[in-house]
Order: sequence, then C-alpha cells, then structure tokens
Amino acid sequence: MLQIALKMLTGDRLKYFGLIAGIAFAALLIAQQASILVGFIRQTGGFIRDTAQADLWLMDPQVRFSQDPVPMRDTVAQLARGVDGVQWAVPLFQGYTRGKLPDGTRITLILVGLDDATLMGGPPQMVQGELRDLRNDRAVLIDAVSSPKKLLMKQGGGRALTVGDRFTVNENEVQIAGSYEGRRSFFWEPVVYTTYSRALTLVPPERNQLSFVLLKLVPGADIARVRAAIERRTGLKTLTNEEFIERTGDYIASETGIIVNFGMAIALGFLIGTLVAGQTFYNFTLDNLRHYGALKAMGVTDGRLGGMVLLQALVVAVLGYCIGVGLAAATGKLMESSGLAFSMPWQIPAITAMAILGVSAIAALLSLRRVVLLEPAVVFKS
Amino acid sequence: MVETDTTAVRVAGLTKRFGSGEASVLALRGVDLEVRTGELLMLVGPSGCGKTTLISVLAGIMDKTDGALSVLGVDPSAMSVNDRTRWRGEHIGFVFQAFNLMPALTAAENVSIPLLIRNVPQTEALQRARAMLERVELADRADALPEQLSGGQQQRVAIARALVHEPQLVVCDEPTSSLDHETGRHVMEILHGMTRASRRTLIVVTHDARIFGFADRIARMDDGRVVAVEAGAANAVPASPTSAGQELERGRDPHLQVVPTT
Ligand SMILES: Nc1ncnc2c1ncn2[C@@H]1O[C@H](COP(=O)(O)OP(=O)(O)OP(=O)(O)O)[C@@H](O)[C@H]1O
Ligand SMILES: [Mg+2]
Repeated sequence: MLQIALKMLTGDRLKYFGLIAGIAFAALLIAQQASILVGFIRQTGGFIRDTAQADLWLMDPQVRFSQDPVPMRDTVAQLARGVDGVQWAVPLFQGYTRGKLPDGTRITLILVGLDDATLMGGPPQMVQGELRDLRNDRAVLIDAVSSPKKLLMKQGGGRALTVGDRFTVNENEVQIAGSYEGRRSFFWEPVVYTTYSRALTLVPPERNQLSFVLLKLVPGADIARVRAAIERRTGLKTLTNEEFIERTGDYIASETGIIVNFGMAIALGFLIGTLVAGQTFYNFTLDNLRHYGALKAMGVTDGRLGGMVLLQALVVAVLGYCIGVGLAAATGKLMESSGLAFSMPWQIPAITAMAILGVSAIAALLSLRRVVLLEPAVVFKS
Repeated sequence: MVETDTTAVRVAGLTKRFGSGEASVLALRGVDLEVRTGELLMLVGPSGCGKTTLISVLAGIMDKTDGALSVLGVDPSAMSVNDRTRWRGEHIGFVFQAFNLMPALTAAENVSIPLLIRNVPQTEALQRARAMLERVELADRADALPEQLSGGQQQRVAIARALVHEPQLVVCDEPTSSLDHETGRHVMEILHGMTRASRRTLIVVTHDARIFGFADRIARMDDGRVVAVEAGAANAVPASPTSAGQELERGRDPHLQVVPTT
C-alpha cells in the first residue's frame, strides 16, 4: 500500500515538483536567514579572535562588548603580574578615534596599541611587512583585506591607502609600515594597530588609558583559582576568549534588534513555507480524495490511509528539505567568498529539519482529517 | 450461518435517513429483499428511488438507520468502523459507474490493490492481477495506465479488480452507463461469465435495459422501497419465453417504462 502511496505522489509530476519546490523554498529561506544571522553574530567576535594569543582578558566589569572598553588604571597590569600562576600580563589599548587621509577624507578608526616590549595581541597573519615593523618611527599596520574599501581616499585621492602611505590620527602623522590579514568584522571601522605607547600619544590624553590586560597563565595553572586571585587583587573582571566572544555576541544580539529582524525573516520563511507547502499538499490530498474513498470502500482502514498520507508528506518534506538546505549551503559558499556574513553550524540544518517536518506534519494531519472524515459512500457518486 | 448457504443478503424493513429534522431525507423507507447466494440480481427504478443508497448499506459503506440487515451472515452496520472496513476488504467487490481506477497505477497494479489490502506479497499480487486481466481479455494491456485505455477497457480492469480477491458479494452501481451500448454489453458479458462459474452473488444497479437479460432476478424499487421482484431471463432457460425477465429485457414490461434513461 505504501508503494501505491508513492506512485500516487509521483504520478502527477507537476504537483509533485510543486510540492517539493514549496518545501524547498521554505527550507532555503529558514536556513539561509538563520545562517546569515549566525554569521553576523560570529563576526562580532572577530577582534577577540585576532587578539587571542592570551588565555584571559582582564577588564572593567562594566565592559559590554569588545569595542566598549572602560579605561583602567595603568597599574593593574603590574598587579596582575604579581599573582601566582600568571606567566605574563601585557597592556592593550583599544579605542575609537578620528583620522584623516591625505586627500582630506575623514574616517573613524579603531586604534589598537600593543605592548611595546612583546607586541602581544597583534594580528595573527601579516600580509606585508612584519609585526616588529611597528617599532619603526610613527609606524601603524592596516588591514589588507578591508583597506581598499575602508581606507579609500574619496575626496580626490582616487585610491586606497597602502603600505608606505601616511595619514593622520587626531592630527598626528603616522606611516603605514605593513598590513595584516584582517578577519571580517561586524564592527565596520578599520582596525589600525600600533604600539601601546604610540597609541597613547595619538589619542587625547586622559587620566586612565588602559583598555585591557592580556594574561597568559603558566602551563598547568589552575585557571579558576588564578582568575579568582586576579579578580580579588584588582577588583576587575577576567574573561576567557570564548566568554568574551559570547558576551560580545550576546550584547550585539540583544541591543541591535538584529535578532528581531532576522527572526522575522525566518518566521516569514516558515509562514510562507507552511502556507505554500501546506496548501499544495492539502490540495493534493483533496484532488485524490476520490481515490482514497475508493480505497476505503475496498477495505483500506483509516490507519493505513493515514500511513499513506504521512509517507507522502515525509517524502516531500525530506526531498524539499535536502534541496532547500543544499541551496542555502551553496549560496552560503558564494556569500562567504564575496565577504558576506554567513555561517551554518549544524544546529541550523537540524532546526530547519524540525521546522520543515513540523510544517509537513501539520499539512499531512489537516489532509488526513479530510481523509478520515470521508464517507466511503462517495465512491458511488459519479 | 446456515442461512448464508442459500441467502447472501436478507433485508427486512430497512430504512435509511440522511440528515435530521426538517431537512432530512428518508431515502429507504422499509426495504424488504432477499438475494440468493450465487445469483445476479439487478436493481432498477427511477432516479432518486434509493438504489445506490441500498447497495451502499448492503456493502457496508453506509450505516443503516433501522431495520433488519444480514449480509453474508452478519450485519455490517453493527460492526466497528475498522472491522467493517476489513470485512469489506475480505468479502465485498465494487464496480463503479466512474470506474475509479487510480490514474498513476497501471492496469495490473490497479487490479492488485484488493490483494495488497489483504497483505498478499506484491509479486504474487501482481501475478494474480495479470491472470485476472487475462480473464477480462486485457492481458496485453496489463502495463497500460488508465488514461491509455478506452472506457470499456477501464471498466473491465475495474471488474478484474472487483473479483481478484474472490469476494462473496459484488456490488455494481451503473457499471455500463458510462459506456456505449455495444461496449456495455460486452463488459456485462464478461462480468456475468466470471461470476457464473463461482457461487458469487452479484447485485447490479442499472438503468440499462439492454443488460436486463443477464439478470437472474430483477428487483424494482420505487420511492425507497422494493416494489417488485421478478425473475430475469438468465435463470429462465427452461422457463417460458414470456417470463417477466424476457419482457424486461426487451424493455416491454409495463412496470419498467417509468425507468428514465439518464
Ligand atoms: N449523502 C446524502 N445526503 C442526503 N441525501 C442523499 C444522500 N445520498 C442520497 N440522498 C438522497 O436519497 C435519495 C436516494 O438517492 P440514491 O442515490 O440512492 O438514488 P438512486 O436510486 O441511486 O438514484 P440514481 O438513479 O439517480 O442514481 C435521493 O433523494 C437523494 O437525493
Ligand atoms: Mg444511484
């Protein structure tokens, strides 16, 4: 009987493909929008990942995300260094500031100052020059990936800044000594690296300038104990890289409305999918009602008819799902290679699968209701 | 039951009401009828007199409202929905005016359905279906889809389907009225020939005077009742040529002139 159900399903090519297309469309929409959302949220951790040679970040407890440092006293790095189990502790400056390109184009940039002695927390991958070139006079490093767009001289320069060019940060001239492979970041502003001491000369003076302290533990140290000791000693907060990435992602997700926007797109996909696929499947069953009536008259029980309808729904759901999620993954590859946010962890296909199965189950059950309520006596109506 | 040895269907005071209250329709108003095992009974009467309703109740696809009902020794109206469905699958064959073949299935697959319903393995079911198609002279069209078959061929497939599981009772509602006269007659010959040999009971609702000659007996309905049961031509071989069945077959019976041809 199940084979008959499959033949009924595939017998009318047009309706069969219509059904699969409807489900595929819903799956595509759900998986794609969710992946773009996750992609965006993931990108918010870009800066932290680039700076991730350390084990712990020490920061003011009020810091909400990676681009939101609350200045601390310069002495806390010293304090942290004194804690048992800390191998090294280096200061990191990070802040938004203004710059001006040679042609007069004004930009906002994220200035990062690395510990002069160790250059810890620098970008992991250089494109031109080396990290230690930062020790040259006025040296800064720019992001090789984003600078063609973000360091473009729009006021007549007609090109983007490259290694060797000079520009000003708060009226102080700097020179581009090298470039690094930047990660795509949710935070749009270009990240410019320099040394900690030079960073302090480039930004307006304030009493406290220290943004973060990067901490490395001695191998085998009990991280929980060391964290507790540092926090007790400094009165500040320590976060691991993962914790900091999570805190940043959570903040962006909850404060920007990004979740709501994408959530609506996902819900819309779900709704349209439900309507299209549900409606098509329901119509498919209605068109076949006469045949179900005949089968009923000939002795097929409601239970078996239910199995047939559910099997049809399942087949359509699985095929539509595979096509839809496959398309989402394929377009995702394209989007990723063109620099757009897209990330599909396994949870997305899993949740999409549940959504699609849910939609199909609803459609199947609604259709099934009609089949069960059907009087077999309809077979004698001509 | 002993009774079923000679009587396939016994009905007394059978009523069927559709709906309730003011708008209700009393489609069967106390039908009394006996159908003998192995006979071909034709059910005739004007449109709306309750023929389809009666065979629906007999075949267990519709509940009776009241009255005594015994079909193959049981009362299908007294069974649970699932039991009745399974009972139909075991004992009843159906032939419909509109053929009701599944368009996505080949002729052989369509014929195999009643066997699949009874859990006969698929290869065996298809084999038996093909054998059955041979008996309705359609061996060469076993792999054709219904849309590739003529009306007469489709109805022969439907007959093969109705008989493949060897049901004891076969009900047919206007099996020939979608067909032209010649084809209808041929279809009826096949149906008749296939049931004659066995002890299978056949109830055929029809308007088609040309096939009356196949009937053992003819029950005439009017306004929700069986008003007359007369002998048909088929069992009248030794009887006189002026028997009621012969009259009916020629359409000359005065009682039957009210039968419209729609
Ligand atoms: N499902 C139903 N609901 C309400 N009334 C019905 C239903 N089925 C049949 N009837 C009514 O019951 C009566 C008998 O109908 P039935 O179909 O049995 O007649 P019939 O003798 O088969 O007629 P025909 O020769 O036109 O097929 C008619 O008045 C019809 O309108
Ligand atoms: Mg009728």
